[in-house]
Amino acid sequence: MEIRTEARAGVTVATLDGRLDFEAADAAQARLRELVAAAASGGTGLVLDGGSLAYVSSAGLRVFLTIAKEAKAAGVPVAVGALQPAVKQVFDISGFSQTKIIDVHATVDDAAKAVAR
Amino acid sequence: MPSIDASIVVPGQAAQLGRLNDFLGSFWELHDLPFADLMRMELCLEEVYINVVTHGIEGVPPPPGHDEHPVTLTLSLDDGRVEMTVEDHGVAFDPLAEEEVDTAMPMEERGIGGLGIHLVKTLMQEVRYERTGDRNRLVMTAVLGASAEGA
Repeated sequence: MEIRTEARAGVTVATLDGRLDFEAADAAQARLRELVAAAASGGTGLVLDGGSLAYVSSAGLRVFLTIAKEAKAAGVPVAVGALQPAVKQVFDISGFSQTKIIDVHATVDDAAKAVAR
Repeated sequence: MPSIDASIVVPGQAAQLGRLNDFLGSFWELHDLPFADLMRMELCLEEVYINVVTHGIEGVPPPPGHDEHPVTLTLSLDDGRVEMTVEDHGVAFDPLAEEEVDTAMPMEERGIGGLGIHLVKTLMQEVRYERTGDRNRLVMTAVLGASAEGA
């Protein structure tokens, strides 16, 4: 899995490209942790662009959960945008959408609007 | 009896997941099965296999005649249904007997344990567990084209 970043006004957009499975989880979590720290010191929000996220398992959901908790503790608003239907279904079944573990938006722009600082 | 069967045996290591996925993908391609169903198969395979290699076989000596724990994946196709069976020689463990995860729990109080099997139960049409001798056998059945029912 590859994670690319783009700086927008008041928000960092991180594009998650590929599969977030058991093997990819540790590296992805480490990278996202860095981005949360950078967003905290830079005073921006963080958007995770799911448009190219082809697959997520419970190991991948654990990454989202951990990052959501750490971002909250660091005072960084974080949101997910543009999840593909199959990945969105995994979020829904797991209760990630309903319980607002992480804010999920239909598009990256919506997500960016919600968390820009 | 299922009309088509295919099996692969791998040493029970997390790094073997890619080989199992390739095997599943080839089976899908060979029999021209709907792509829309593939992701839930991959997901359930990962959840069950990773559970076996990180918990089930840890600290358990491999069965006689093996240097490493063999884990077997069998795929059977019959009349629009795929049965995916994962077998291992680890400790007796019935994941279906575990307590249901509370997906309505707030984030702060929530661990992630149990989520994998919750996904498997939701995404498959049928899941059953058998213990035969020293073997765990988890049989997951997917009715192809029925993935939307899982939501």
